[in-house]
Amino acid sequence: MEALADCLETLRKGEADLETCLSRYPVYRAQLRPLLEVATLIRPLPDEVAPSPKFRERARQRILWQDGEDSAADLSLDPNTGPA
Amino acid sequence: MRCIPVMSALASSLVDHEGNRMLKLHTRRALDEQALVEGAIRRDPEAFGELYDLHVVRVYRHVYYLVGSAPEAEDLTAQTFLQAWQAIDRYEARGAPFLSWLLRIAHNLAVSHLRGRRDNSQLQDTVVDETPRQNPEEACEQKVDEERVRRAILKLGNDQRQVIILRFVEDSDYREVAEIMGKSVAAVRVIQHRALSALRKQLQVEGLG
Repeated sequence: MEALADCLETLRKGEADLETCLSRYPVYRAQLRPLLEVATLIRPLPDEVAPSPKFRERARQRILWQDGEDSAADLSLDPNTGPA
Repeated sequence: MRCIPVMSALASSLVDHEGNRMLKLHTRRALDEQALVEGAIRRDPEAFGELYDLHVVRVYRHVYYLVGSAPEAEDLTAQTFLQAWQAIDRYEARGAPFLSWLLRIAHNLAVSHLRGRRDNSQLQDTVVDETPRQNPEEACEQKVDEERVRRAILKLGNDQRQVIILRFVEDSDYREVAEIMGKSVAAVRVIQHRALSALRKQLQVEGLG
């Protein structure tokens, strides 16, 4: 468990490649490799994924103006279905 | 302890003077979040609004990965904050950051939303980071692989899914994941180990991993 956590953290920080990490734990090499390879398949979300400024402002106003009185179902931000 | 009205006056004057919302945000981040939470519990909308400003991007990104659609992520993000605002008087910190409470609400809403979909793993917008060096075929293959990985992650149990998303998709460290999930770092590592094993099996079924 510690070896996996250490290798993942090392890879995350870009301090070493997969083979270098594995070479530090020869006893666990066979178990670690497939888990580390799977971990490398998981891509972080691109930084560009973010709510639009328009949505942020509109939702902020609606949430605070509702003041907990209405149901979440009434909070649709779709201009065709949401509250006026 | 800081007083919310003083904080509000300070931030308002900065905004009035500079007309710059980002400055207000940076100023707020340096202030004590706990004071904002206490203000929100007293039904101070400005305090809750500042908590919204601090965390809306993080909540949106978390939900976006789960549902894969910007419009749905927006609706679920808004619902997350509305539920939080409605239930703020029942919030108990217990040493965990306010974000952990928000992400729990968001995660539950998103999972419930996915269950309601006919095809709960269908990706509507594809989450992909295309580099300029890629040719269209490589980009397409990467997109397909990322979609398979995302589907496999969605099939994990709740704790395993959350650890994988927080650690690898959102790049949180162990301490932050532990805080958000209300578990020890050791427990997070155990869940991570099991999650990667389960993910590997799932991806082998999918022809990856």
